Amino acid sequence: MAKDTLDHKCPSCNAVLKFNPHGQNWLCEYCGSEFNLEDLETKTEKLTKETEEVKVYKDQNGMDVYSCPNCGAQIVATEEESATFCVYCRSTAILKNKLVGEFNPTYVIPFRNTKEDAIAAFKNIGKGKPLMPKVFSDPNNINDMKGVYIPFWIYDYDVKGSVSVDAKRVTSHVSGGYQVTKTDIYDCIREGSMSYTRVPVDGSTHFDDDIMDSIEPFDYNDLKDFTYSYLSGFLAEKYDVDGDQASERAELRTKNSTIDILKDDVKGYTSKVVKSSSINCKQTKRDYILIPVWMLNIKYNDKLYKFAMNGQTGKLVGNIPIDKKKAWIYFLSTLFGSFAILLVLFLLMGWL
Amino acid sequence: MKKIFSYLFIFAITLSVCLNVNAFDRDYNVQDFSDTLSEKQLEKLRDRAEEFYDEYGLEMMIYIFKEGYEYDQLKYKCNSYWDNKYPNSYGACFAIDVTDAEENSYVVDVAMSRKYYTDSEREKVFDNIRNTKSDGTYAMCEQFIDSAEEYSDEEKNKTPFFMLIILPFVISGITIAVLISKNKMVRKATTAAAYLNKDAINFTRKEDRFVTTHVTRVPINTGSGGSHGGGSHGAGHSGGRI
Repeated sequence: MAKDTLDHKCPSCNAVLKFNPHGQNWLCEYCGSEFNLEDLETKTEKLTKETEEVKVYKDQNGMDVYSCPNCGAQIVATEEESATFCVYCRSTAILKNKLVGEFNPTYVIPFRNTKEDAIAAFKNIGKGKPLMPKVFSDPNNINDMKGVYIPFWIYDYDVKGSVSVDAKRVTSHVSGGYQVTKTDIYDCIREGSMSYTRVPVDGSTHFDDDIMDSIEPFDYNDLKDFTYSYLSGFLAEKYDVDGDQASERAELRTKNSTIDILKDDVKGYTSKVVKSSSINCKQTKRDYILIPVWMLNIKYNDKLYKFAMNGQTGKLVGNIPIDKKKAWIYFLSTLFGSFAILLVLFLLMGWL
Repeated sequence: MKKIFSYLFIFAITLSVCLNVNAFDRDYNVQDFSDTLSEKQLEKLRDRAEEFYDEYGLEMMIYIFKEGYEYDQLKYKCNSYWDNKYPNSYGACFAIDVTDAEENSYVVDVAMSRKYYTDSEREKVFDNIRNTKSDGTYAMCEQFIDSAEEYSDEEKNKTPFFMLIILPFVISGITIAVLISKNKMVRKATTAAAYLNKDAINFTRKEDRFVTTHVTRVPINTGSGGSHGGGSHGAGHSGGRI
């Protein structure tokens, strides 16, 4: 099997070549050469033609095993991994055979943040969070952050829908010693059409949907036609949730938004409740893309806590557990502090 | 942590300074502009009003006029004296005009803090005063203090104790809940509003159809004896001519 793995090497010195998020180009850390996409693809094509054939086989656990084109060591990858690292020489190994056919992404959003940016952002995560356990600010844990391209599906929809809203208008006035409250009830119908572009849903079961939802939105102006070169220096996954399956979540989000928009058009009432709705979503386009994410897993009390930073916008999300000892200290301090203040207050007021 | 305690300390100091303004002022609170009462009677009323303040933490004011005030004028006086001195305090105020005392007819205004005394309690105080009118002005003032004490019962005074225990738990609970919520940064996306093409919204039908109307009438509780909304101290009045 030819060209199963591709290690981007500097055409000048043959050292490892990595994507540079700040410059949006490729930088050789050894000789300092920089390449744009056009240069690289021309020279890489030449390079890959010279690449020796490498063999892939499955080990006894069903994992794919490749030979590192740089040092010859064995690279073990899961079925879903499409770009990984050699643990010995840290060379990037892009497993091209994993990203062919239906697994070939249409677009990629390249990383805009470096690992240093991500680490700096995570170091600030504890600000204003006094109940965060110390382990989450330990540099040894933070430095383990990894840049991963996550598979996403994006959908375009044309939507037609209608809602029936139960609306009430309440007015009140005083008349003849009585408080008179008048409630007018209306049945409001709204029908309309609208369209949505590039509604994203992650296509991997390895990452929590909620975390992937939380790093939205993405700036699609940065979408590039997919080439393997963008994966250089990062891990990458291929999807294991197909486009039809993932579309259920995108469609549900689209329907909810459509109902909200139609309902919001009912104006001038005191209260409104959607009685019934009929929404028809027509999928007009679907693309498979790779989204850049900095991932960090930190173990605390035998549980793994996952954090993700949008590799494009820098938005950092993740649930931080509560340090119970700190929580008790805060609770008791506030309890006794407020008790003391109230005691003084009540004594001054003469209530005690 | 240090920050929180420094804020709490500043809050406590500020509060205590503010509260010190509202100490009991016996000469201001009990005044006889009519010279009806003897000095001894006046001092005794002042002593009792101060005891009432010490016992219940409520202000008590007694004013006696001989100006031929009508009820509305008396009510205005009552509000003015209270708002001038205790705009944010609770308590009980009794004003009486004794111009027509010889004819055994008085214009009386009783103002009692609505948040502390109920409407019916205020009415009972007024009734008690009415029943002692034949005993003279001083007796009416004493009756006012007795009645105010009667309805400033122990159950009501348990409220501060209850609050003193419960409030710190509520404050601490809210503080911890806020701090915990700060650690939750993951939210499930349920809508796609960010991906809507705002220029492509096209409404094809907008119809608001009237269905029905419900009307409810609730009688407004105005009380009796000429009661009316109080001043900024939140007092309610009961009173009139007796």
